[in-house]
Amino acid sequence: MTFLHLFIVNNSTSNPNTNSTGIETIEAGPLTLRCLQTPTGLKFILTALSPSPPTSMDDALAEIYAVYSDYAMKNPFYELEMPVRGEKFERGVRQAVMAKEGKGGYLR
Amino acid sequence: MIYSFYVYRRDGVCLFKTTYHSVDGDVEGDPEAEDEREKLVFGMAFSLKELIGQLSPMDGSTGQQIDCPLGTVKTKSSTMHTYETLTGFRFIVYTDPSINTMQHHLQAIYRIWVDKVVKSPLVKQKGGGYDISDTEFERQAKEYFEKVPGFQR
Repeated sequence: MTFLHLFIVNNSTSNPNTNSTGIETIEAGPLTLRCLQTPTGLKFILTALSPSPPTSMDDALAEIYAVYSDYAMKNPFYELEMPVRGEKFERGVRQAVMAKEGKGGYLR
Repeated sequence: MIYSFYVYRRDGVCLFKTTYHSVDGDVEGDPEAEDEREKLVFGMAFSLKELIGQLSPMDGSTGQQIDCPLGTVKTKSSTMHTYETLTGFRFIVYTDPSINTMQHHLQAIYRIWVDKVVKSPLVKQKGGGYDISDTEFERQAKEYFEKVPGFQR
């Protein structure tokens, strides 16, 4: 059995408009860390053990971004730049990751 | 395309560095900026290794942490490939993002290192390290990298 760590870093960079090229992928033996940076300076970071195919991580990240938009940004009680809390958001993230696990297999 | 190549001792002293292709707006030629970058490259490899060590998961059956040696770090503009030997030497090469893996090439370079530096009586010792400048290693490493597909764009 392997573990999956999921970090969602709500990170506002000092200048979101610069075309900075942050880290996209770190490969360390069986561990892969993938980062999705949105144009607004948000970073979504997903780590997985030997994902196959590796592109499934991108799909999962894109889905998590959609979940974030739906359940954090559209939530009238959510304050900008604050940690995201909310049952629906967490459930959405879990579902996005689980769906990919079924196909590609993050968890074994 | 292969940009540059560094060899570090385990305590972070740079034993060898060379640039094969420079990028626009590169610091090459400015020794101070080059020294600065040499330290930044090691610092990044070192701290990412620590980070990966903390992120690497436990193996459920043995209860031990799964070994995850830092391999590649990709950004939009370049990729850093690292290979750390058991003795703590770090071989780091910067390429453009189209090159996916350099691990086996770096291992081959390490074999050249063992043959031409560690075993060679001609290589002078310098402050606990080796003085690599203008040695057989430099020539053979260049020759090897030139044969790697993607050395030239």
